[in-house]
Amino acid sequence: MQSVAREGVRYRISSDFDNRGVKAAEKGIVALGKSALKATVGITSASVAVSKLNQFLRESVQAALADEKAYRTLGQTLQTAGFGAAADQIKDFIDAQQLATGVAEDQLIPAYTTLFNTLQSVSAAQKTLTIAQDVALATGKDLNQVTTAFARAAAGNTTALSRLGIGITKAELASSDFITILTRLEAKFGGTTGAVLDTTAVRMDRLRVAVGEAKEEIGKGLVDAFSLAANASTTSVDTMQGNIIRLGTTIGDVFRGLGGLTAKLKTEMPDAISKAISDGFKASFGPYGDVFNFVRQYGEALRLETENSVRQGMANVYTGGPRADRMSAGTVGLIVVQRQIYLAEQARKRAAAAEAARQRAAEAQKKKAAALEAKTKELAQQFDLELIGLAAAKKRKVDEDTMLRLTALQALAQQGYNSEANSISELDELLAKLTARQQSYTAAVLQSAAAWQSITNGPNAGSFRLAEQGANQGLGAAPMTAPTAAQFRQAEAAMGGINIPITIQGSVVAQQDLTQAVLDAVNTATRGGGSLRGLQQTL
Amino acid sequence: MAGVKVTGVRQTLRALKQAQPDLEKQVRKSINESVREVVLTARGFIPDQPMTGWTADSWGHRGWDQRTAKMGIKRQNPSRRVNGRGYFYAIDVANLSAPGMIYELAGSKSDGRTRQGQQFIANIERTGLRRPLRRVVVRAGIEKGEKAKESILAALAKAQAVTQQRLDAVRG
Repeated sequence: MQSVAREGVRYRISSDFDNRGVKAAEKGIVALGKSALKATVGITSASVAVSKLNQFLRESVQAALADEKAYRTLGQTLQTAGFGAAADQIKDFIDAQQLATGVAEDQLIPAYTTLFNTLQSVSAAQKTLTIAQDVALATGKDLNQVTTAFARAAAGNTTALSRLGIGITKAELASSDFITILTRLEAKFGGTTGAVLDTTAVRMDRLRVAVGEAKEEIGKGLVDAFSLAANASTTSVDTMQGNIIRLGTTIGDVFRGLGGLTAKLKTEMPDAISKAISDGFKASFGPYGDVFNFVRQYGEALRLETENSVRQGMANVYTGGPRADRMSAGTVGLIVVQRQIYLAEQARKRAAAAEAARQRAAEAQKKKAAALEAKTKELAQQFDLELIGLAAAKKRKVDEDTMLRLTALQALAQQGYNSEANSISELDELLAKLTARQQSYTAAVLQSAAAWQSITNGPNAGSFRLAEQGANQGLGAAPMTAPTAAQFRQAEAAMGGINIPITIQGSVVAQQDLTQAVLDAVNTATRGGGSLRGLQQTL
Repeated sequence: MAGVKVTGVRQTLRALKQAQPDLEKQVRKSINESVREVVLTARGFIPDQPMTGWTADSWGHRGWDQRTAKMGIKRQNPSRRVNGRGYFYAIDVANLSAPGMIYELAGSKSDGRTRQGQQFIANIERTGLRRPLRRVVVRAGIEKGEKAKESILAALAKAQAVTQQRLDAVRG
């Protein structure tokens, strides 16, 4: 308690003095006692707190440069996250907040950036910043401390939030999600900022912010006047400030002179003379006869002449927001370029999305057509009359060869429905079977031909001739007919050898004629349903 | 470079020693007047009796007494120290009494952990601004502090101008 009593609650009035001027003065003083130096520092330090106007102008330039840098940094953060187009909206929001609540933008911008980096949403960060301002005002905490606690709570760590003194327990914070916590805080502290707007302290803050904004505007004008942006790489801040101070002194002298002149015109000169001079000014400067207004309007005309050309360029590519008419040329150019890049990127993304959609639609259409075609084939196959007839024929009792032929015809008819490979393999199989059977027929015929050959030209050829004569005698002049197996065996036995009576219509000149005749006889026999196997064995 | 221009060493020393006493007095006088205004403003924010029951009988040395609270608001001696850029000049307006500090800080950490605490804070807020650090010295500092600072700077600037004039006069 003793330490608290010693410290107490304090308000500090303080000033920092830059001693560079003092050091320069010290170099010119050769011998100076230590006490004298201290006293000198105490007095000559006042030298760096120059005139009020110079200080105001220097602060104006610093404020303008700091303002531009802060917004540029914020703009880059938004651009990186893909929200570059919202930069103007956020600038307007921060401007409105600082003028309404008295919290300067050098606090609002870092606070907003902290929230945006965590929430990654423009509207959510704006809403959360408003709640943070209420909480900061209600708890007496620094706005940066509150927004940092909010950002951590959004990421899942509520420890910093519990230390703000918001009246919610640690357990409740740990068990609630960030949206729920925000809702509770809004219900509890919402409107705090609005409630204190009329208090003297906040009114002063708001006026201070307005003065600060005015300083920035003046500073921006000075920056443009000295073309600092163009020469920033080669001009030091000290030199710039020196130039500004000289300008401030000159401006101060001008206003001082004008004020003195006006006073003299009003008070020391006779009315007639002062009226004549005033009329003379009006005659010389026309509608700008009022000297003070003339100076102000002249300056305004110079400013607008510069800004109008820039604004016209902006209007062509960018429908800028309310801050457009108060931006410096450099800032305007930066925003125009950013906007162009953003629009080009958006157009590219739209084109890519449209192309992808077209490809997806074409793919879907293709799949649909293929499915329809397959279904159509399936139905056509089921209602094909030829296939239906072949299937019905196969159900009847037929021999093996006929069955193979029916199967081959079916495979040929199904060629249009089956895949080409399936059709070919099936047909090949059937063809192989038919060929094998044909070969077996041929082999049997050749066997019989060989047998015949051995009969007619072999060792028993004489017996055959005799049998042939006997057959001719027995049968008269009737043409030879093919004997039955029983007759053949009977004749064979009777003749004591192989006796094969064969009736051939026409002449048989060569062996192949005989072979063909035998084959024809075999085919005729088998067509009637007889077994070839039995016939073969007989032969 | 704006500021004191030194040409002759001896004449400079004579002029500075000559200039120092009265300029220093003038600067101190301006500072005292500016800070006194802040102190008086802060004392004006001390209420007569924020609530019944808050008395020395029940609270001891922490009990409310308007005179004690007002006299506890005072200016602390200025401090001068050298920092990296030169020189740091500070004056504090401090609230040093127990009842004064309680009145200023009530509600700064919580809404009141007990029902009595909550009632106490609510009673205080009826007489002053809601929420802490804006009731007495801080409030006075916000209202009058900037003006005081500007007065101090103006006094120093005036001292600089007078010094320059005298040096110019010595230089001839």
